[in-house]
Amino acid sequence: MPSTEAAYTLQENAALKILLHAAKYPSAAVNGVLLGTVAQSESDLSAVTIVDAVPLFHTFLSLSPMLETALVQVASYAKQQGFGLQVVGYYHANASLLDKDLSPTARKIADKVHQRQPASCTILVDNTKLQEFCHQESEEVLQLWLQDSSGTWKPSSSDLLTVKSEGLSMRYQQLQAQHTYRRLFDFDDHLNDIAKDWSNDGLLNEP
Amino acid sequence: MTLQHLEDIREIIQARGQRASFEDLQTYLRLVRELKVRDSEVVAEYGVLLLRKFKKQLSTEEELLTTEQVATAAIDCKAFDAAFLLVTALRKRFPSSSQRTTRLVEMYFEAKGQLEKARDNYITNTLDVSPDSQYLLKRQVALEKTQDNIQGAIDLLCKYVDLFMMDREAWEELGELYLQAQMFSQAAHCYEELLLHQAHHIPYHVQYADILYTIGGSNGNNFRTARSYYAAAVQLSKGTNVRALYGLCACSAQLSGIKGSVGKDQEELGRKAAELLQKLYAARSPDKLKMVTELLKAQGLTSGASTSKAGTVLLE
Repeated sequence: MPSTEAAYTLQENAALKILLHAAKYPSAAVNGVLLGTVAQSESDLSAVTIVDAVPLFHTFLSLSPMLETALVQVASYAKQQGFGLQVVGYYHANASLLDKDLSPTARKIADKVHQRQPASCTILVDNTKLQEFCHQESEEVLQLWLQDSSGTWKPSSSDLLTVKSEGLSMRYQQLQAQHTYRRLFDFDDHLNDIAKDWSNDGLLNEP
Repeated sequence: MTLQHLEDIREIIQARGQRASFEDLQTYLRLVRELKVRDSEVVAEYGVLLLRKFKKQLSTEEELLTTEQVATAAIDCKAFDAAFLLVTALRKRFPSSSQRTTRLVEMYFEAKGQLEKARDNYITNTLDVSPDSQYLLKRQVALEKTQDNIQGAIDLLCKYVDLFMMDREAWEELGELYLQAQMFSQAAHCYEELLLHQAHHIPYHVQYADILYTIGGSNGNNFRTARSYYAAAVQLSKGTNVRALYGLCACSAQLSGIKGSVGKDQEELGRKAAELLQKLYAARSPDKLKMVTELLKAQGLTSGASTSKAGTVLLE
């Protein structure tokens, strides 16, 4: 299914949660879904605003039962928040520092998300840019991928992704200093102890 | 001793900083070794502190174990200065033929990105002399993984488990590699092996069931088998393993869509799992209960639930 033409805005908290998830499990591949709203404009261009990221797994990303369980619950959660909030994308970070590609596992899950919402995108953490980002030498650490006309996920032009932040790398360093990643919980953590909250509500409120 | 104990001790040490006690540091590092946790920045930091301040209070054996542990952690988080000192200290205490210290040196160079040196000087040389060295055979597999050569890692590890078929860690790793390569039937076979070794290990039951469910199939056989393994996990865990409970519910939902596959007692399994899940959530995670109930409704396993003010769940 060809994707609708769209422009994507990624709000700071969503971007930070993706990075914190990757930081919490640096030797593993991690993934999650993106929550946001879709606004149809008069032209064919939709405006997708990503306001939150829900971290899902850091183990066994290719297995379906827990993924399906998580996707249904996160969709309910989004609906519960109101304001048209829904699942609008998928994010992924590879385990290997040199790996810049979207794995077959990641593509399958991204396809699943895209089936329910054709305007959805995929965000891949650009591992090759992580070191610069951590030294505050670059802000470009998240890469937008979209489906082409044959349904294959491809890295897309950075013009289509706007990250809404006053300084993502600086804010990230602040959170690192406070070890915030330790207080972020994904669905995997939740399955091991259901008292751990995968919505991470309030994690990024200013101290 | 559980992960929660580990977290509690870690918080105590974090609060006391440089004034952390010998007992706390020693207990923390011991627990990490026991529980096989990978939290390398913290282990490196606390380990270096313990060795710097309290080395004399450790027995020789524990000192060596701890040094090896902290060296590995330092390499893992690329603290190369600390790693160099620790690895060199171990090298001095043992002959150069020691496989265990050679392994550390190989990891050091691999982490630094000097892969040729790691392979030629430390893996190949050692395997020439001791071709059955488990430590270095595994490093060979790890080196393939580092270079993103999953198929190469799989081939080497298959040869390894042919020689060392009782090595559970190797079977677990092979299973994970197969999953990465989307080779689900082969991954399932690894877990069948693991279940032969340890028939009561709950995670193996759940992971095996998860794999079968993922393979799926329109005749429902895999869902039925998965269901029996989830059920075993629920029993072994006395109803507390949440993954197994969710798995039972998911299998029920899949099988209800397949003709002639649901007997009365099987229906009961799904419903009981749903009931248990709702009880667990009402007690420990009430703000998530609504989303769980909606999932179970969609799976046809509950007609609805309401929470009274006291927080108990009543099924309509």
